[in-house]
Amino acid sequence: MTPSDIKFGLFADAPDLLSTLPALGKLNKHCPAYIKSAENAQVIARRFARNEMLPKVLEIDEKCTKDPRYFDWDLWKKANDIKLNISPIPEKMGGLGWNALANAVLVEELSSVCLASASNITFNTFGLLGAMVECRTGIVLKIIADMVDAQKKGEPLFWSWAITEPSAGTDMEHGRAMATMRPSTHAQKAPGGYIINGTKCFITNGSLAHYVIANICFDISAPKESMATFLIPTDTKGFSVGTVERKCGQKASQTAEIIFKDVFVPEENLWEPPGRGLRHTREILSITRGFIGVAGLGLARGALAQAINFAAHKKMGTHRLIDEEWVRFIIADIVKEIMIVRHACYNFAIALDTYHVWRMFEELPIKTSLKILPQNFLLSKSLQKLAQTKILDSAGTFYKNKLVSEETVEAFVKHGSAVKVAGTDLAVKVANRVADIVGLEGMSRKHGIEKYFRDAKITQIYEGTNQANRLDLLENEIIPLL
Amino acid sequence: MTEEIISRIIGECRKFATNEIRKTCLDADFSPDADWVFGIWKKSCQLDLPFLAIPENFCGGGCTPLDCAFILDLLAGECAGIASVYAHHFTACIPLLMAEDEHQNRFFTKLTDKNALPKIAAVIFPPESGDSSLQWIKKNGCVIINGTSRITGSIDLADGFILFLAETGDSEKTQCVWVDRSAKGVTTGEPLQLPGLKINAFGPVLFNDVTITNDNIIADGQTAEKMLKAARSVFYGFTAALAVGAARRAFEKAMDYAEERYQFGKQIIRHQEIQRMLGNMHMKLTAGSAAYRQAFEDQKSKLPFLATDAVPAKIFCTDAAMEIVMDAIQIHGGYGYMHEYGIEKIMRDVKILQLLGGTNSFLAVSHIADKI
Repeated sequence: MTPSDIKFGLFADAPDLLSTLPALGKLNKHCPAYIKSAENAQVIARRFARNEMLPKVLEIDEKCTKDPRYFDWDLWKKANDIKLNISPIPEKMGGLGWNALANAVLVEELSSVCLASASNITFNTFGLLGAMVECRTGIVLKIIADMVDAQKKGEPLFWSWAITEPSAGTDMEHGRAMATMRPSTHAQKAPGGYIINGTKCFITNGSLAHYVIANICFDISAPKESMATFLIPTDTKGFSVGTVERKCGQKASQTAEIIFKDVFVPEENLWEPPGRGLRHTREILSITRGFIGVAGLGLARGALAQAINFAAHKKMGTHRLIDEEWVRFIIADIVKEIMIVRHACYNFAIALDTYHVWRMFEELPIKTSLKILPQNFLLSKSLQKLAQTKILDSAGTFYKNKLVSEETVEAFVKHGSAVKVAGTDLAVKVANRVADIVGLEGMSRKHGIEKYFRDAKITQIYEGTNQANRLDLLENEIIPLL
Repeated sequence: MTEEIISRIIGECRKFATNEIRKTCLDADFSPDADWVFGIWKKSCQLDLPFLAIPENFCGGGCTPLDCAFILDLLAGECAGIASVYAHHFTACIPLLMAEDEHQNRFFTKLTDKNALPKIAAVIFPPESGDSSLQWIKKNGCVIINGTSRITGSIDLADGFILFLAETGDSEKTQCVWVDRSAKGVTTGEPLQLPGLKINAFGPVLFNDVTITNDNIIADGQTAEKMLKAARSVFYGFTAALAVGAARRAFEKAMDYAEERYQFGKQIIRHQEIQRMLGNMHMKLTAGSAAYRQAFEDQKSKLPFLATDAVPAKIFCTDAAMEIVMDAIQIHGGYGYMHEYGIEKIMRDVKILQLLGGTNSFLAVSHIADKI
């Protein structure tokens, strides 16, 4: 894709957060450091998206069409070099210390070029996110140390979140649906651990993951009551990768079938006990759904920027395509919708910082520890070992549950679902409408606009179909009132 | 032609489409191959499929444009890409139906010559807006053409093109000519890499001092203008039919899947939200079928087909088809997005149908503007 000379979206001068989202001005007055960090993130993310991603994404898409297992390590390494793949880890521990607002900025900017490449970079935080749910101090510290260590070495450390079963995607994310499904994957108790058998499908990065965080039940006739969460290293005997899917779009992000054949998982890798698996999923969803909305927003903004670029340079006799009134009205309408959804997305991100796990980093005990303890100690094995002692390990869980209650989680599932539907519906709508502007010629591969169209549709399906998201919205907002 | 014969032809075509196209079209979409298309085309000659739009006295099928639209609808149910090759070919026959006897004789004989390799034709329209990038002059009864044509389909398959040369606001100057693909100075430009209708290569045709001799000039002035309007209109009607056919297939797949898949303890087709989606899809299909039939209706019994305004049908049917396919994918969940299930291909194909002959918003504007 070629850069645009029209300073919209990705091609505008960064930072432009305060001018494009003027309501942030009030926050800026009271917490200038908070806005400053998001502005900083925008400068870094936009530069990376423009300089590193934009020139490469079409070529990557083409290579992945030929070989769905192709992964562009070069782009990934460039992101790793500037720590974009460990952005939420505190700065003191080796990450970027980006809060939810800064991460929303990152997702928006990267997705505006390529949602698939963006997910390769940003979804790697699943490992940390998964550990933060249970928040056992020992596990959280170990995962952070492993991720920081891998980043320093320039080696990948990929995490996959394995939820979907064949013919059961949304079923795994919703209580009533889970209660009636019949999963194929199941676990059984064995001496010192558990044995897992079955197949999961459509697993993002399943073919690249070093660890899979999987929701697996013990009793297939009572999945909801027996659903547990496991951490499974993918080098375990019996774990294998099946088909890597050929998809319509988002080709740079691998979607794989993963197979468990008598996979042994030790006792300590049971992250959530039977019956708590759904709760684990809900908590992750309470964060990730909103970010998928942000990704959809990014895609829409990117598609519009490319369409504006095309229309401004396409000659129609004596004038340009963008001089046609009908084109201008379509663009105005899209700009309006992007503005509205963008406000909702950033509102959600700020709420995450205020009420969800990110607030932990602002709380005195953690803030002080991060301030006074030396970096070597924070990342040391000895601290991890100390934190694994029963009292300290469960102290993390206790503390986190106090800060982020069940009600908070369900409230964020509700808000996140709304943002997810709004952002992804916008992505599909805009990717369709810009085609209506640019026509056949503009939809030729080299302009990149057709890629947005192919990439967009899956956003309405993954992370719970938009129908499931609507159910969650309704069941948390209206049903309790009836 | 009686309705009985038409329904027999439609039945045969359906069998042909199911047997010959269904199994292989996904592979062809993945690795587009002109030989594959030509193979299908050759086999379809046994059914006289390429000759349907040609009058019976020239050994053709004598089908009306509406009959042809029905055939395209069902072919598109298997693969809109290959159906679009037939749509271009049938459209190329329309101006010939309105041509003088000697031209009909010359070109229809050429197209139906069963001793030669089967011929594929396509149409090159002038741009819908702005001036043509083709320059031409008339000299000694010949037309000499230079420049790059607007984008058309079948560029790697067509043996010849019906080419319209037109100047904005001066219908007296309109020309309708036949251009052999093998004529000196004719080359095809770089094909567009479109996401849909992938087996049909779209791109411009390049003309470098191409001389069209008098016997290949089919008409000029008002007659050529009438042919242009008719061909354009038929092409919009055909595009509408292709969209309805493709969407019907997506709807059928969604119905089947909704009966197979269980959620919340029952088939998803038993959920009202899914019923609402399927109900709306069915409504749009019914309205779409009616819309394209209506566009042809007035001319059903007589040839040649004269310019009925088919733009609204094209817009409605292709937009409705996109909405139908999007919902069909949604009902399939993740499977809908995977190549091997064949539904995402329909979405990509329909996207291109929305853009053929001008984008839908442009056409909505221009077909009113043209009436002022």
